[in-house]
Amino acid sequence: MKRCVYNFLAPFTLLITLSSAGAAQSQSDENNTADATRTGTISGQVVNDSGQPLANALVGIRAYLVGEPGRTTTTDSEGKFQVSGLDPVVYLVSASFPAYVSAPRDPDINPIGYYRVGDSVRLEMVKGGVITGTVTRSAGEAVVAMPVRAYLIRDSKGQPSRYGAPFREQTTDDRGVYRIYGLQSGTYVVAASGGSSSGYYVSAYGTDAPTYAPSSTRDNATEIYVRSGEETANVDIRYRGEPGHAVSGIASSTVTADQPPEFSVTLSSSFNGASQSSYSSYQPGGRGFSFYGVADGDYDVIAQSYFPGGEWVVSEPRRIKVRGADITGIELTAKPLGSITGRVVLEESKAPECKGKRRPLFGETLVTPWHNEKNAPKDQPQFVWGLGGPTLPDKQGDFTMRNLAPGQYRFNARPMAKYWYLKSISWPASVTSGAKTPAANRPVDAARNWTTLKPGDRFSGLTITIAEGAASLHGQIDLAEGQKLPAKLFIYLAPREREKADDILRYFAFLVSADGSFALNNLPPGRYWAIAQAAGENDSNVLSKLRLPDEAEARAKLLHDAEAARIETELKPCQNVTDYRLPFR
Amino acid sequence: MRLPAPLAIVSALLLCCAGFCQHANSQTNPAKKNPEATVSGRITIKGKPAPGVVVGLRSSQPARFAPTFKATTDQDGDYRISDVPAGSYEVAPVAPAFVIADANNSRGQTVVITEGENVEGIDFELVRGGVITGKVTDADGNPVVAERVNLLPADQRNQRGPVYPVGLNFQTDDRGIYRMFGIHPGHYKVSSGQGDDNFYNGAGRGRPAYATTFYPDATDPAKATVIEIDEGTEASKIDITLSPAVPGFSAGGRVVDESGKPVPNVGIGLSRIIMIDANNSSSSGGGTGARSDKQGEFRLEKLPPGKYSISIEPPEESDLRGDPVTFDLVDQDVTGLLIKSSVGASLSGVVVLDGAKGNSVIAALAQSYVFISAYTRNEALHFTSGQSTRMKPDGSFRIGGLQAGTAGFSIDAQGRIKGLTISRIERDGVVQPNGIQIQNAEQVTGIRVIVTYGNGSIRGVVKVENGTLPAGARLIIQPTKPGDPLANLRAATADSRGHFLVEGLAAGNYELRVIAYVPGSRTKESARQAVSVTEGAATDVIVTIDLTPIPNP
Repeated sequence: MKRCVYNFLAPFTLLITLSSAGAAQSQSDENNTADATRTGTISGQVVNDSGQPLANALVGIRAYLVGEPGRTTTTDSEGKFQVSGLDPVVYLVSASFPAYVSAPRDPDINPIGYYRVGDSVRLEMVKGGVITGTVTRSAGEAVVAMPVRAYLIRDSKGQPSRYGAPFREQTTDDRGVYRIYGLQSGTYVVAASGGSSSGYYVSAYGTDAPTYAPSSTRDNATEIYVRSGEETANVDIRYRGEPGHAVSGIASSTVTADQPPEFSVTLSSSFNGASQSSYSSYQPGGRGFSFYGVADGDYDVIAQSYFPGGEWVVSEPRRIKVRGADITGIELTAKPLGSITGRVVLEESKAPECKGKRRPLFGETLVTPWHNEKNAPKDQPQFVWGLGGPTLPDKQGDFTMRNLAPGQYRFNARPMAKYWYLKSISWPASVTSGAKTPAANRPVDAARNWTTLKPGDRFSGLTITIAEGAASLHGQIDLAEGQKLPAKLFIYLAPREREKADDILRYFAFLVSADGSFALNNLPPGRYWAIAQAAGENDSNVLSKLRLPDEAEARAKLLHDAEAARIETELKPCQNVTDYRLPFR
Repeated sequence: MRLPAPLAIVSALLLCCAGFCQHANSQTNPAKKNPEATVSGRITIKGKPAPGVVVGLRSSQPARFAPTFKATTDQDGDYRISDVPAGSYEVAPVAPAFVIADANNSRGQTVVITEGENVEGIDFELVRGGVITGKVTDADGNPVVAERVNLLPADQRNQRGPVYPVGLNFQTDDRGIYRMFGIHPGHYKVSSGQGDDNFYNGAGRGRPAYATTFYPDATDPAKATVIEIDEGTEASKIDITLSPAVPGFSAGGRVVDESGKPVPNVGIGLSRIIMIDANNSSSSGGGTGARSDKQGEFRLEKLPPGKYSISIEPPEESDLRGDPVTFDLVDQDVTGLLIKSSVGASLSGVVVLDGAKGNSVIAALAQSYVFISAYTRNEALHFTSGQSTRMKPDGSFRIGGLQAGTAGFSIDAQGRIKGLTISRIERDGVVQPNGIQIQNAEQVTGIRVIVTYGNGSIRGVVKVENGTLPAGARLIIQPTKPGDPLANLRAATADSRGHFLVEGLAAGNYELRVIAYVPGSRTKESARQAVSVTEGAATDVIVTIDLTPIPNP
């Protein structure tokens, strides 16, 4: 029962796609004294899309740490909440309210998915969409107590579901009617699918293959677009009741432990880029894992297990083809994932302007690994990337990123202090294989190069340097007479100094507000080219993209454009520029 | 895992299965060694055959991974469940909109099957269940969404358990509308609102917003409007206006160790104590999500008035324990609650298997999830508490965080290994027939939990003399082991033919007695009958029960 968590991860996946430095901070950090021991409060309000408070909403606050149980509270009649006694680390804050969904967070507008002590949080929720219909047999009689699931296959931006399509489920009533509510905007497929038996309860349909609306297999399922707040009715299902097949096998682990682990086995299928998964838990010594009611098709089966202390073992995905018969005897061997240890180093400034400024707390400096999505193994079920999330350094600044699936990684760390910036991310010369060149006695820039992790690799020595002396640049876009502000206008900074041209961490992109204002913070001091450019309609997470190791061309183009525009600015250590005017032509 | 947990586990499992996980189970029959039995019968609705109805069969001693079986009725309403291994089962149609007409077997029939037997005539007459539908709103007329709606029998005195069709529970949708179906004919009260009894709901959800309110708007169950449901009738517009929950009060205090120093970061558990009458109480509760802070302080908000017991929930593998503190919330906040924690006593030792099969079974056990629990009863406090741990592959265990008192053990293999029972407990080689006395913080070692793995069984028939059993009577077969009053042997239920099966018995001599429970009359017991069980075999017996009325003195 402990392992049935994977679908609950889905709400957090949005929050995991964090952006990097350069965005506005809600707090003034001027001269605050940092105290890693003082506890504090996170407060806020939950509102609907027209700003009305939502009372009795459930709010969860969870420290960004593995194994943290988190705290919950409910909002008062004004939609407000407050949780005190929180350690000074960074937190995920989420709200739930029946029939509502969280308003989508635009990573360009609100790049921070997390909060810290003292923050005030506004959580906006919108009424979810509804899909309703009737499940009947061919002769028209109602199918009663049948679980019906709406799988989100693409979100409102058309992006396929990354972690296995999240679903919501309701059962039909005595008339065969189901009503699934609280759906976020997006494209769904709807299936009447079995449910499962346990030793306590016999499911009538548990061994049937799912029937997708209107009356088909997954291949011919009708896609249903749902808008939040709207109802899509008459999504009827003519239930086929065709027997599915059983898929079974056993799992083992290369790691020996005091106690045999409990495995979670995932069976997932991919269809047009979206993956759909079902799960089976399994303890060694029993009959192994088994899935029932599996329709014909291609699937990946993967076993994983969790060891006390936070380590996961995961098997290679096994591709199976179900064609009209059961599949038995699958053997899966779970192996440890990779890990990276390192240290966050604080580098103080000697500039007199920077004297007495607040230092960042290690507990607030979230270190995030990002895998290279372009280069990711195609058959790797997406949830695997969710096992190795961001981590927080300890009091000495040491951190461990565990459970990293094989692949290519880059990293980010965000200083939560106004006058500090992310200076460098580097490996010692000898650690990664890519560094074994004759001239490689220098550290390797882990911001500009992917770090390739093979199964079970344990790298150590990643150094993340956070330096004092950050400047800020706030100001306004100057438009020509009669010119309108484009919908997605970005202000970009590119390094002016030639020797910094390869320093990825000196490239910035920030979305200009609707009123033409902008606020860039945590900027390394130095000389920059500044330019305003409109982003394309479908460009999302512009800054994140700009800093991809493979986007050298995009950076070169930006640098070229910015050089041509010849708007130069120099930022002194700890300088706050407040009335900068940047022309947009 | 903390105790008392079994209920919590079962409910978590059910939720889990319903929503997200497919557990390994059902329909994978082991390799056929012997001819497997069949169970067949007919499903009728108003005497007419009911085609397309699924009939399910599960073990009489259900467990998470126990296999289940099913079949669907044909055009004549006939079903046949095949490939069933010998055993004792519960058979019931899976037809949630219908109910079984026979009120005495409304949840199904027990069927005891021997190897290769074809059990016929397990018939069910179904009637369409009633429907209750309506809307749940708050005092301002706004729909209340995802609120559970409960059905309570209004016929029986003081009965508060809801009656659902198996596997279903009913909630309002996004419009506040609910629809309950498959309801047995009878008189009911309908309520909604989580209310004070479920104030914490296990998942740290905090205080619900609404008090338990009965149709149409009564918070007092005595003022609920009773709804009558006949076969297949629908009661509509059963609209409920929920009353807001009482604002509630806070309870705060501190967790300290033996020297009075604060104990930080320990979970706080809370139970609500409901007094049934002067001498009896029931309590329910669990984790609150609250933890003690660095000063050992904690605070629980928005608790409704009532009687509570607060305790700590130490992390797994911790030796910490603390006696619960009871308090009353009347009309103001309570502060200064002091939970004194201390290092609990521990019991450590090894699980040993009696008999020749020891090694192979221990190996199987080691691969499995076997939990050993120790319960200590403190007579002075009238309080039993327990801890449980998973047995290590070599059979060793250590259970910490125990209170002082008399300790007993239990073992649970989650249904994977049948017939595992504790036959005796030894401490330093001496049998402890009356449990183990442990003192505060005592670290007891050298415990041997001697377990028997029984693969013998007793199958038999109950013969009724001098009378017939009326409808609704139940025959329970209780095995005992002469000379071993502590042997914890599970009773079996006889099926409609009087057949029964007692499984998981180690070789040895036993006694059986039959107890006849007849509604509305005195319980009858048979004489004890001696039965000898051999390893790996079934012993056939006939047990006679005499129904001659007992003359009044």
